[in-house]
Amino acid sequence: MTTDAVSGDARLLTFVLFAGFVCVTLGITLWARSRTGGAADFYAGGRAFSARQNGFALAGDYMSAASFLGISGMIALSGYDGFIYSVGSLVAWVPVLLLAGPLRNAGRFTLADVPASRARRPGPVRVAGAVSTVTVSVFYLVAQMVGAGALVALLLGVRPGTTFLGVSAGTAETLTITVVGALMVVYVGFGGMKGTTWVQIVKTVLLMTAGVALTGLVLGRFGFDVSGLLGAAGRESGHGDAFLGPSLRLGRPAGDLDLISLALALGLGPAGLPHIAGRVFTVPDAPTARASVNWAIGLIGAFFLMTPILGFGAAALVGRREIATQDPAGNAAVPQLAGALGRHLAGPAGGDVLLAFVAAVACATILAVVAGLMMAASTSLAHDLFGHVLMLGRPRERQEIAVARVAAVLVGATAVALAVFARHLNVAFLVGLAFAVAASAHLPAIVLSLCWRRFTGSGAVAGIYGGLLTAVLLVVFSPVVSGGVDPVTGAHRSLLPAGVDFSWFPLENPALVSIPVGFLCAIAGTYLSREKPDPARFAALSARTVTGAGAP
Amino acid sequence: MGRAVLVVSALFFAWYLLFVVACVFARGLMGHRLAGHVNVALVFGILQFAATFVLARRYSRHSRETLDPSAAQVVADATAPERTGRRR
Repeated sequence: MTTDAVSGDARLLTFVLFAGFVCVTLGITLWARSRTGGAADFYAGGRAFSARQNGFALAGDYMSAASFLGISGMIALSGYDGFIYSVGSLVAWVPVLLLAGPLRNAGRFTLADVPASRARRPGPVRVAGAVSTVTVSVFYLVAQMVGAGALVALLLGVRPGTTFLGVSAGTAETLTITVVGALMVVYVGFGGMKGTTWVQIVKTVLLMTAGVALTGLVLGRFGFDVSGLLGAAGRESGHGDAFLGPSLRLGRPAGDLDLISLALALGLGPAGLPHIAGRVFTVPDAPTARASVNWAIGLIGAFFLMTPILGFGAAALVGRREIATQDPAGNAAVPQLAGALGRHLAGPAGGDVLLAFVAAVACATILAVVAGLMMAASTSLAHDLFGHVLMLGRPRERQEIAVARVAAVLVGATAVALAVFARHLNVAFLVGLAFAVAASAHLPAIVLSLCWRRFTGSGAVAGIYGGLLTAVLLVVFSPVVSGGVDPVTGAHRSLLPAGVDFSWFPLENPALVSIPVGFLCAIAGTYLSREKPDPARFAALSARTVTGAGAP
Repeated sequence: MGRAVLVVSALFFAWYLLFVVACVFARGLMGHRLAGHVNVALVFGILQFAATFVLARRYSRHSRETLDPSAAQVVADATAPERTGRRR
C-alpha cells in the first residue's frame, strides 16, 4: 500500500456519493419548506416528531466527525487514552435525560425560556442567553468548519502541491468551508427545524451503517476474538500491553488535572449545549422527549462502543506509521481502515468503494452537525433577542421567522469568515471550550431555575456571564493560546506564534474552575442584587415542569 | 425531580469521576490483565456504558410509573375544579 491512501477512483466516488447526499438533503429541505408555516414549525419542526425520529436526530446533532474520525484516530495512535473520550461522550447523556422532561414542559423554543420565566425583568436574561448561545455555537461551528476544510482536502486526497478537479489544497479548504457554510444557510433558512431534523436522521442512519459494517468486518478479521484484536493492536503499535491501558503520556501532554477538567466538560456540557437542548422542543410532550433521549442514548452508546474496535482495528490492520503519515492527528485512520478492509475483502476496487463510502459519510456528518448548530444560534437570536427583547414579546410570527433566516445568514457568514481566517490554526480546543461554556454558563442557570426557590433573574444573568467569561478568559491565558510546548517532543503547540507567551493558567480546558465559578456567580448574583425573589414565579414554573401547560 | 433521582444521579457521576481519576492516578491497576489482552481499564470503561444504559432504563420506568401519572392527576385536578377533593 502506498502512503497516498486515496486513489483517484476513490476520490471521484467519494465526491459523487457526497454530492448524492447533498442532493437528497436539499430535496428534503425544499419539501420541509413547503410544510413550514408558523414559528412552531420553523423553530421546533411543528413539535410533531416521534421519539424515535427525534432520538436519531439527537444522535445526529451530537456525533460529529470529531467523534467518528477523531476519537477512533486518537485510539489508533495513542491507544486506550482516546477511549476515555468515548466514555465521557456517553455518560453526558444522563444529565440530558434528567433535564429533557422538565425542559420540554417549561420552555418553548430555547434554553433561555426557562431562566427568563424566573425573572421579574426577563429582558437581560434573554440577552445573556442569546449571547452565550451564539458564542457556544460559533466556537463549535468554527472548529467544525476548519475541521471540514482539512478533512475534505484529506479525504479527497488534495494535498499541498497536488490538485483535484483543477483545485489546489489551499483553495480546496477555503472552497469547502464556504460551500459548507452556504449549504447550512440553505438548510436552516429554507428547511427550518423540520428540514434540519430530517437531515440529521439521514446522517445518523448512514453513520450507524458505516460504523456497524466496519466493526463487523474488523471483528470478522480476528474471528470475533476481541482479545486477539487487542493483542494485535498492542503488538503493531510497538508499545505492547501499555497501549491498551491509560498512559496519558501519549494522549494529553498537559497533565493529570487537565484530563479531569476535560472529563467534567464532556460529562456536563451536552445538557447545556443549545443545539442538543433545543431538540426537546420538537416532540409533542415530556414523556416523548424522555423517550427520544433514550433512543439517542442507545444509538450513541452503540456508536461509542464501536470506536475502540475501529481504533484498535486501525492500529492492528493499518499500522501507526501509515496512519500518522497520512495525518499526524489520526483523522484518516478510519477511512484508511475502511480501505484496508475493503481491499482484503474484494481487491483494490473493494478498497476504493468502502473508503469512498466512509469518507462520504464523514463529510455528511460534518454538514449535519453544522446545520444543527446554526439552527440553534439563529433560533436564539430571533426568538430571544428579536422576539422577546426588541419586540417586547409581541412580534408577528412571520417577522420572527424572517429574522431567524437573516440571523442564519449572519451566523453563517461570521462562521465562514472566522473559519477561513483560522484554517491554518490548531482550533481543536474550541470544541472542548464550547462544552465548557455550555456547562459553566447554561447549566447553572437552568438547574437553579428548576430547583432553587430563591433564584432570581439577576442570578441567572450573573451565572451566564460569569461562567461564559471565566471559561473564555481562562482559555485565553492558557497554553492553548500562547506559550504551549509539547512536553514529550518540545514542539510549539499554541494558537499564537512561538515567542509570544502570556499564559498563566495551566489547564487547556477551563471546566474544572469555570463550572464552580458559574454556579457561584449565579448564587452570588441572587443574594447580592436588589431583585426580590418571586415565589409565585417559582411555583408557576414548578407546576409547568410537571404539567407542561402554559409555556412562555 | 425527586430526592432519590438526585442521589442516584450523583452516585452515577461519582462513578464516572472515579473512572477518570483511576485513569489518571491508578495506571498500574488499570493495566492489570484480566483475561487474554482484556485489562481492568477496558472492563471499567465498558461498565460505564452499562451503568448509563441501566440508569437510563430505570429512570424512564420511574418516570412512566410515578411522574407521568401524577402529572396527569395534576392536570385533571386543574381542569376539573369541582373534584379537587381527590388529591394524591
